[in-house]
Amino acid sequence: MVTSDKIASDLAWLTQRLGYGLTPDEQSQLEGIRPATLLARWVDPESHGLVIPPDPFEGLSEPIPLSLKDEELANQRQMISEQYLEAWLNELLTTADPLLEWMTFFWHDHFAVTKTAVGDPLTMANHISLLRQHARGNFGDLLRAVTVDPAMLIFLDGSLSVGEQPNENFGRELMEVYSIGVEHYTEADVAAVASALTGWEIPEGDTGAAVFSAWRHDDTPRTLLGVSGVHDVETSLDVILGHPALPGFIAGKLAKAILGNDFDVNQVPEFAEVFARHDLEISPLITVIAQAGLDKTNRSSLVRHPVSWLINALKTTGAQLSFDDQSHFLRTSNMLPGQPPHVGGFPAPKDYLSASCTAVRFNCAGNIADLTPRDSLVWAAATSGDWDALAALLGCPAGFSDALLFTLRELWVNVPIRKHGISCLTLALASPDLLMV
Amino acid sequence: MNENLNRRRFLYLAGGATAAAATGAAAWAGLLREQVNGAPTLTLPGLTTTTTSMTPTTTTSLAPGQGPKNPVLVIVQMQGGNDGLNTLVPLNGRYQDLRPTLALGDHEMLDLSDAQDFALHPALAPLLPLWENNLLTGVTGIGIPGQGRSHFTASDSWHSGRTSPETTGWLGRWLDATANGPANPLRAVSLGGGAPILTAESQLSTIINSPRNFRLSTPPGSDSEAIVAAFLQTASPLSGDPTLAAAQMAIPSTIEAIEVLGVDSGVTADEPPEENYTSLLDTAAGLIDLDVGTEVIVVSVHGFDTHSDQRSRQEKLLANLAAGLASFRQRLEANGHADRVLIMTTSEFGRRVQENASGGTDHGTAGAQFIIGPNQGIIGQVDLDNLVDGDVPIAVDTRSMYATALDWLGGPTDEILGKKYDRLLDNLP
Repeated sequence: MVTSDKIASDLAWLTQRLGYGLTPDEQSQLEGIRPATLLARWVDPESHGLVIPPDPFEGLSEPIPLSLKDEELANQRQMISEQYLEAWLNELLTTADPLLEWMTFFWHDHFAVTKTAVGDPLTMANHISLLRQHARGNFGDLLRAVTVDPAMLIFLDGSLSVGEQPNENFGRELMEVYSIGVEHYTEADVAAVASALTGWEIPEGDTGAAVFSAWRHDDTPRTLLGVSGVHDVETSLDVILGHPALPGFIAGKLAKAILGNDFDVNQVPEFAEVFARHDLEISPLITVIAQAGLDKTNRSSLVRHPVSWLINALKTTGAQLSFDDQSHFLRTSNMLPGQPPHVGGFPAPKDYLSASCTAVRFNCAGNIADLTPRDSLVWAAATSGDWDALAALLGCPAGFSDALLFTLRELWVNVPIRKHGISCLTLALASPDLLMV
Repeated sequence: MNENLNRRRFLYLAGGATAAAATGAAAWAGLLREQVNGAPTLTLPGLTTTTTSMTPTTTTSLAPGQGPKNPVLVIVQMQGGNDGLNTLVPLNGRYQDLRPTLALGDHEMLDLSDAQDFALHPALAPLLPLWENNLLTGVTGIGIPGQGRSHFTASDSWHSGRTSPETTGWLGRWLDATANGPANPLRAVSLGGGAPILTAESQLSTIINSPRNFRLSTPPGSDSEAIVAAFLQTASPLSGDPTLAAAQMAIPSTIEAIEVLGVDSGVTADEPPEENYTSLLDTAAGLIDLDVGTEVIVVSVHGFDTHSDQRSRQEKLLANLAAGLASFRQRLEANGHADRVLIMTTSEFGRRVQENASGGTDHGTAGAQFIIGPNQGIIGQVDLDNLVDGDVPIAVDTRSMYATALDWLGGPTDEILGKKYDRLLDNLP
């Protein structure tokens, strides 16, 4: 028999590994639902009569006029880019389709295009919209779309790659980071794919599609990954998408993000087989990985990264933290959406245990506690010292660790009554417990 | 930054009423970490909730007795793969042939007196006085035999000092090998991001992305000292889950590092939110001034992956690099630390000799680095007549530079590198 504790614990696991936690209202709406049912609903909302929310970036901004000059252009870009970031953070917080946002962010970390390189905020926003459009779709469609996406062409210099002296930047990362991994290609493959991908450019001042110019392209047939006759984007991607290492590479990366750093990698071939059998459809892959976690056959702990920590804290407390404070926290944690620091994506979760991140998390926890509505369930639990209720509301249905419980009890005894709420909630939010998901 | 550090240091050492709270928390953090390190499952007795009842200690665990003569190593990481060929330029006719648009003209390069085969990129002018005062060594054709052209595999090799998979960094292994007494979180500090070269089996280093934001604040109406003390206490008892335990262990060293380094919370909204490399070097200099047992500092500078528009991009990057290094060195001299600080640059690879059509260069292997401290002229060579797959052949093994750095720190060098490598400098003090 499945106990309600087990259901609550599995629901918390699922909603925090494939989403960013639940508000108290969402928690009560979902009470008692079977985790597998929720998973099926999240993976395929439309079949369950749910409406997929509109893209939060849709119609948010007009293209920036070409006539603008240096400082004015920079100001416009900054302003518009903040509008997009605010819309994105708001969507993460309020979306009715958490998995869509979670997968969009997963692909953002995977492709790691940064607005610092792209410059134009609309081009960057279109890139994120593209990731959102394919987030649960087909990986082949996603990779083909990203390859000729203006933001990617700018990010890895594809739009500058011409003829006989191609730029290898995108070609290398396409194989190493985006599809098959470093052990499966040679330097000759890098040169071959770089030549085949030449010829794409972005018309001046246009933030729409990239165009192909035959005269900038080297159409010589070459051998890529052992297959001859490769000469353009389509033939290159046919070879890469058909490579036997791809399903395992993507499945392994997604499994690590969902199941945790120390998940049992022996199960990757099983995930990869499902992914390959479904022609690289992403939804069945998500399902089989999440199911492995729900069955508890394959779960390990995971450090909650700053975006996940922030959104969970805001959802569970109901605190209205200002956009400036949210973006300050994420920037100083080295995880500002839209600005991955490296072509490999955001830092590995364990890097968020650094002294810097520990300090900014502590400070932000205090801000959030300060802004938590005084009539909320979380505030009531913190004020009255109901630690089990507080733990469940904050997303830890199995309760807090002994270390945190002991400390909370002492703090509660030692600070004046009027400071119970603010002190205990700050501590709980900043604690190592809330850093684990 | 300097003023704050000095003021903190004063408070830290003065042991007055205000300092008691700060050093008390730091002392507690040190004690807790010591116990945490020593016995992973140890349960501490309940921590009192006000810092005033803690025993104020002025020495804490910060390696007492370390005199100003103790060596410090500062590594400046040029992230992305700096183009060595246009940094330390070989005066060889082939150079201009092979780099038709990116080659520096003869009139642009800066001559290096007594070094007839090489010249400097003009943006490196701030380094010339160091060269003229015999304080600069250039190392060219440097790389790790077998390193790949991928950012990731090449970085891994440079970080670990090995081409086979390895989880620790070469300086992390040094931290482990030389650990002695209570761990000092400020012994190894990384500024501006993580530093895999400091990854150790047992020793923790302190990563500070943004020194300006490295402080603790608590909400109005709360009891600051009680919350900070409670936060510290959540680190014990250590969980059996290694991930949770790692999150717990980060807390004591964070609090201790902030107590020593922390800037008061008077940061105004007008200040730029992001750090730059120069401000990170200021923090590094401040840390050395503080004399709190810091032996290794790693500073990261980003943006060297110049696949396109290299001419203008690298010029800015090198100008920034050189200005930062020169002023850092000046500050060390002014404060009497110059003789004990060795500065060394690294970068995961040099770039391809042949330029691409976007005015840039793709990933290569051998590159060029600088050492500031002892002078040995230019070490290594650039053989443009015998390229290996289009790359400058490796003439100096990166591990030789590491061996030199480890000797500076007092070793045990060969044990850490797993082999005896040639040393680059033969007149270390």
